[in-house]
Amino acid sequence: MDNKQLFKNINNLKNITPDNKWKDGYRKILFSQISCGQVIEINKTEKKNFFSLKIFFGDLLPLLPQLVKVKITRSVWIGGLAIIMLLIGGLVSVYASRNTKPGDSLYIAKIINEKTQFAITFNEEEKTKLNLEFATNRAMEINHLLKKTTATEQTVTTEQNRNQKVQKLIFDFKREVNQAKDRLNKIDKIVSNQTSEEDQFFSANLNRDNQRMEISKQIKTQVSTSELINPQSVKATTTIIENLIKDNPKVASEILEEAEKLFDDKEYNKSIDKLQEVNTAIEQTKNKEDQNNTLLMQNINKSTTTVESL
Amino acid sequence: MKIGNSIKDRLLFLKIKNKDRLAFIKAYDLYVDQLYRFIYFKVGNSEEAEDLTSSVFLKTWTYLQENSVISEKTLKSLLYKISRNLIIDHYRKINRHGNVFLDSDNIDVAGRNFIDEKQNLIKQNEIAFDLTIIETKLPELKDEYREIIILRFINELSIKEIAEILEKSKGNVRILIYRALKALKNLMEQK
Repeated sequence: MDNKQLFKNINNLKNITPDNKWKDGYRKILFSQISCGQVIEINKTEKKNFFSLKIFFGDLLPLLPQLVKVKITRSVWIGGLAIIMLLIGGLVSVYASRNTKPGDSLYIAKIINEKTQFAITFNEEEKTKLNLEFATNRAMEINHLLKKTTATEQTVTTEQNRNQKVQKLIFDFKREVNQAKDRLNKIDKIVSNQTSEEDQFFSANLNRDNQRMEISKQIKTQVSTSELINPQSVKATTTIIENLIKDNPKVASEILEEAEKLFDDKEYNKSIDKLQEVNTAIEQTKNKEDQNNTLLMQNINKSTTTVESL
Repeated sequence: MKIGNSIKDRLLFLKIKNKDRLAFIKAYDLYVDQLYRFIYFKVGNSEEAEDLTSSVFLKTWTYLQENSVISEKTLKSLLYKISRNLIIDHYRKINRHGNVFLDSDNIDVAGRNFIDEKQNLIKQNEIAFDLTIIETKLPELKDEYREIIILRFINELSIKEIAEILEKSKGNVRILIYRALKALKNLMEQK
């Protein structure tokens, strides 16, 4: 028998089909069976807008531990993912934009980051530090721009662009420095107001020996009977106050003015160093203020207990 | 045509996975004949073939609804795999392994039980004659060879489809087909 005949024989077997009556009958039965199953399933499952991890993880789902299969609504999932993506994007751009200069694509991210930092800071000292930091950044950017342009050949248009950028940066620098100065003045006022209040407080106690207790605007003395008893505490307090005067914000503003002068003289590197000195001065002032406040309170407590014991 | 069928199959598969009952009934209409034929030539009895065919479809529906991870790429291959598994279970139940005999009572001249009534008489006789030949010879073939002949020549599945159903490589399938045909030819010549 040749292949042709064999195939012909086999081909005829394709005509074997199930009984049509059976086929139609079973079709209806099958439909009702699967519909029945569908109804039971709908009753068992949760709401229609249910969204599960199956859609994302599909084939990997059996590999996940059972506890991880959490059912969350679609909108919450999408919202959560969007927020996470934004946060990650923001962090990445902030990190990448840190050392950018004018002209770089991420420079705008750096500016936005600076403005955001400023907006979320409420402490005046911290704001002053930020002003100084931004002023330093502007000075460094100017430095970079000038170094870059000297290294390469410049056409007239690029030179004009550069000059425009430098002017803008100078304007920004001045603005930051002025804001820092205003803040330092504010801090200075607050400090001097505090000292005058404390003077009034202590002068109210003054009644006996005025010659001993010379009250000046800047020096506060502990005027009470306890001072007569404990002159040591008076000395300590006076020293503290003198130190406070010495290290007050006025020093920082003087350094700031020097920095501005250097900037105007185009000594950008020295100006940057001075700005950093201002920062250090503010830090030191703050630390010493805290220290002095602590010592002052200790001394007052000591004196008060002595008076009470009397 | 083949690409069209393949796309149709995939669309149906997707719809069924999403619990589309009408799509499943369409799939039933599309595949019931060939599945019945496949099962019939394996079990040799039309009533059992009908029962098993109906079980195949119900099991497929249940399987698709309960499982999100499905390794089979097409609905066709899934149906055939389930059919093969049900046939194995059937063999185990009746303790019949290997040789299957076509139910000769069902094969009469008219062949009414499983031959379309629309067929004309000559055709019916032809089929009956071929069936007689095959009836005696096919069961003598190895189960593997018989299966491959049914899939390739009777149900006209492609090599790729057969490979997916039998979980063999295409090369293996081609070799099997060649050997099966050779074996059947030898048997036919051994009258």
